[in-house]
Amino acid sequence: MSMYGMDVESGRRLSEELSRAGERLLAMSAELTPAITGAVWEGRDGARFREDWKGHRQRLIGAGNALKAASNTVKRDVEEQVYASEHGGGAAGVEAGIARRPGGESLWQRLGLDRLGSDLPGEAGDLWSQTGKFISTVGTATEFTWNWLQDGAPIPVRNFMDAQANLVEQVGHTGDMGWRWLTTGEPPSLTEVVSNGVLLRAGALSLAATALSLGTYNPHLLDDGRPVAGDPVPVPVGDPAEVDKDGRPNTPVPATISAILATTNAAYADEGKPGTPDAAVRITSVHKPGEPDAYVISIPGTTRWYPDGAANATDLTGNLQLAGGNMSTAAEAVRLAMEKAGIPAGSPVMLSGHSQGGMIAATLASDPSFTNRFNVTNLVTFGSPIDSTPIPSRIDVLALQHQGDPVPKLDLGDFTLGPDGSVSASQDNSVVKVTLPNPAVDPGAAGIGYHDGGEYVKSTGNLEDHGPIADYAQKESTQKFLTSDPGQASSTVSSISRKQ
Amino acid sequence: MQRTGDPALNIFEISGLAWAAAVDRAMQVLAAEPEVDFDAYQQSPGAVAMRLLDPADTSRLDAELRGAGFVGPDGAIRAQWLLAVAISATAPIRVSAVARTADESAHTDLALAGGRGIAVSYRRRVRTTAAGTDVPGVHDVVEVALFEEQHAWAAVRRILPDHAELLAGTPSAGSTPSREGGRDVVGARELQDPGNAGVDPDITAAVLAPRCTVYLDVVAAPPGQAAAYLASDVWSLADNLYSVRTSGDGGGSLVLVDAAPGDIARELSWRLLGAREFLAGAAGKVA
Repeated sequence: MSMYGMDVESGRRLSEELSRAGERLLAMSAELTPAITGAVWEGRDGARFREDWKGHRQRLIGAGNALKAASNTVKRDVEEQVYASEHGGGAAGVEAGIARRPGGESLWQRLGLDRLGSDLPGEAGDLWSQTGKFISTVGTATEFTWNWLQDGAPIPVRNFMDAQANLVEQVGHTGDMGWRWLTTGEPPSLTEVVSNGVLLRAGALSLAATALSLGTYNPHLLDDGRPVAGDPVPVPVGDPAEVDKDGRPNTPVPATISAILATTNAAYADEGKPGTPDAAVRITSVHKPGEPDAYVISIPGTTRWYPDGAANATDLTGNLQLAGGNMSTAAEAVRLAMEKAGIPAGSPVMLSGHSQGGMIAATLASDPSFTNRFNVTNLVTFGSPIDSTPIPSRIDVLALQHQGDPVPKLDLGDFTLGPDGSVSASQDNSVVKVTLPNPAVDPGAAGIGYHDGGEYVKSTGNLEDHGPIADYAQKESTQKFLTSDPGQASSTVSSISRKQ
Repeated sequence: MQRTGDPALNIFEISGLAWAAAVDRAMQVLAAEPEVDFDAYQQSPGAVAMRLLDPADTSRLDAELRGAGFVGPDGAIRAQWLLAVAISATAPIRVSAVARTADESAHTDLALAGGRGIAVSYRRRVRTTAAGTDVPGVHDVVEVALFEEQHAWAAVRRILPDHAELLAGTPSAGSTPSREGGRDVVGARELQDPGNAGVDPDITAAVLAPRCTVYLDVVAAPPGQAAAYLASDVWSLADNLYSVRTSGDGGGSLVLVDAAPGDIARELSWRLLGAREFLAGAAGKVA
């Protein structure tokens, strides 16, 4: 349902009214039910009334949920309208990873992903609510059924297994989903690899378009790669809307925290430019009279690495993107870039990263072998999961997260189980975490639209003249990296990659 | 796998056939949805086998699904389980993990979408020889775990054997592995020559007789698009934990790199982040 030309404010008010109406119906059901079921009304008429009420209640709840779903539909269309107006194009069509019907809803939304939480008596409730539930219908007897297929399986299932091999690759997701516990193959052991030269087998995940036939890996997927970094290449400092001769955006003058973020965001545009074919980091040095130079290392997210000379060559369709290299390799490549840039020991260093870049920055900041070499005093991340990284408390950390950005929640170690099953949640480091309001953009699948680096630059810029971001900027450690004088800043870009 | 809960997960342990039956019920309901390839499902050997089950087996499965809360009194699959199966069938991000010890292999398949996840886990007996890996026994049980997407690690951790190096949620401070002295290349000749003193015994054990080998794949594929993202990692645990790579020469050599406890959890987070960035990029957004 497109609402081109709709008045945005009217749409927002309509969405709110629909939501309130839905809530009223749901609340009415919740209030009346105990009154009705608890009323003293003996006899057949009373029993029939209470039985009839179940049906009325279901209709009330259904109507309430329908109104809330309509509210969400209107709200999404309003957001699409706003996004389209700001970006000068048509309505945002495809969420990251979810196909939409022409009416705008994804399959999961049609199934009620955004209105789960039924309170019907006897229902399971929201299956995803974190109650630590464990329900079993099989008991302990199945520990002795390892020969189930030979001895206990119904004949149609035995026949099905006898007749088939490598089913997974033949039928795709929908066919194998209920049977993978029986049909999925086993990856080869390491012994097989060294004995037979067998390529390590991919996990049994079929892809719509794939170069993985019969489940064997693309041969470069697990290739060991050493981190490499290029020599620093000068980049002008100035208006980031302007580009240099190679098409690189200028490094912004590091006058504010948002300018620091903008430099990290600009580093995304370095990929594919002369001298930086894979990924790149920017290193900005600030020269203030009477002070040692301070260095800001701007690290974008970087997953699209390829082994040297193998970029897309092994993908028959040209559509398969291999995630070469792991986080350790990426972090070491950044370290190498800093070495090549000649950053002196003792000079203050600020690491700034978005998304995976923030993970790299946090990992380096928590590594004594790195901090013994480089004097890391500050860390600024945005859209990064770093809560569980043990960053030394002497480093002043600012972690920015949009409220609805799902990525920073990809965190580990938030829960620990005590020996008695008790749970504690904790942060391992002293991080100033600032939650920013969501930008007015298409949220995308589970809010991925809020993860965009450019949106973080805008959000931070709107809020940095007061509050915790301003407090962080005023810290003595942070001030070493900030200057409004372009003459006091210089910048370079260094390629980072991995190589056989 | 433990027979206890995890506060980050809601876990349902049912027979394997009951899970197949639940998926079958859901697929019948989702038949008309454009995201679901119902024709392919109907023709699949598994769906055919389901249709050929005799009434006694079908009744038994109905009763089990009712007991687990998957279906209502009328046998219709409940709305939230319909959603769970839909996520499992159409999610843009999938994780596959296998943890193999000497005689058992534990698998889990995760599907992540809309901030929610579902993991289906199962075990087999295995027997590894130089010729390959046999599956002499199948455990007729699957564990279906439901969780919020940020707790994907909890779902993967559940299939890992009880070794601290594997289960750790984050590397300890200062334990980022250094490549200096922590990288070994091994081939068949080095391992099979009993007189070869050049290979560290722990490295030999990690290849030939590991306590556990862990395989991890992360795939991202936007619906309706041909592009896909694939990330893969392998670890081997002897006395120490190693990240396993290939040497790139096609000759069957392996490269074992020291990995700190918590490396698996950290790489999962890294890979999921990469998958998210890929999907956002595929949708025209800059991650």
